[in-house]
Amino acid sequence: VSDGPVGEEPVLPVEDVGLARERTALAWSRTGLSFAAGGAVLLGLLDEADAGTGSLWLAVALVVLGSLAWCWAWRSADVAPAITTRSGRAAATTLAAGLAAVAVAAIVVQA
Amino acid sequence: LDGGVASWWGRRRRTPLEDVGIRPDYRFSFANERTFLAWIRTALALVGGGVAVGELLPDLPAGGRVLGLPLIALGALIALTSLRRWEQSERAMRLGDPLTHSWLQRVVALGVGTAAVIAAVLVAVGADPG
Repeated sequence: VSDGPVGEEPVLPVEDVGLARERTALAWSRTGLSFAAGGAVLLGLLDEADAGTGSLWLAVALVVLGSLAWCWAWRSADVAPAITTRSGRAAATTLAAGLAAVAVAAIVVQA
Repeated sequence: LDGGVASWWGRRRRTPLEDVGIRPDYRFSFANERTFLAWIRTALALVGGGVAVGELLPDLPAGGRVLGLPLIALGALIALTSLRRWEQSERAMRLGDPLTHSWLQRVVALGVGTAAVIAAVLVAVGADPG
């Protein structure tokens, strides 16, 4: 069900049969948890394996990105669709660009 | 050359998404957003896996880098293109156009498949025959 005049800020209809907003907020939570948990596990494994400091910082960066995504998950539950808003797009861009930066740094560290 | 530059500049300075077409059904926008997040998680898995292989499997030939670095690079590629893919889909939905074909799935399938073959070869080469 889609309603609301064209050109205005998106407003969710009262009836959200497919619970799309809730599922999307959960997807943000899952993404935040994946980053944070993945970073934490990686941090533990790398520390145990006496990896270099550079790799440890990469794992820390993943945890920080995960925290940001987790924070946005809470906010996205009130905004619909979250990523179409200016702040939502900033969050998505930070996540994507941050991960790409971590990847490039990882290549530099390992190469 | 002028036409090419103008075309490139035109693509760079695209009309803001909010000013394009009409707002699509919110469920489609949500689905598009979840797809973006799924791509980001895929990129994270590749980057995390690549770092882990490179750092934690030093006994592999070339210290695991031959396997880890391509995985990380693939993760970076996906992270960078996922946002653009989201915008392309949203723009197409607002304009009522068909969704554009994504080459990303094939790249990921090919990349992960190749990585699996390389991993199998590395394990076989590194295995102690005795």
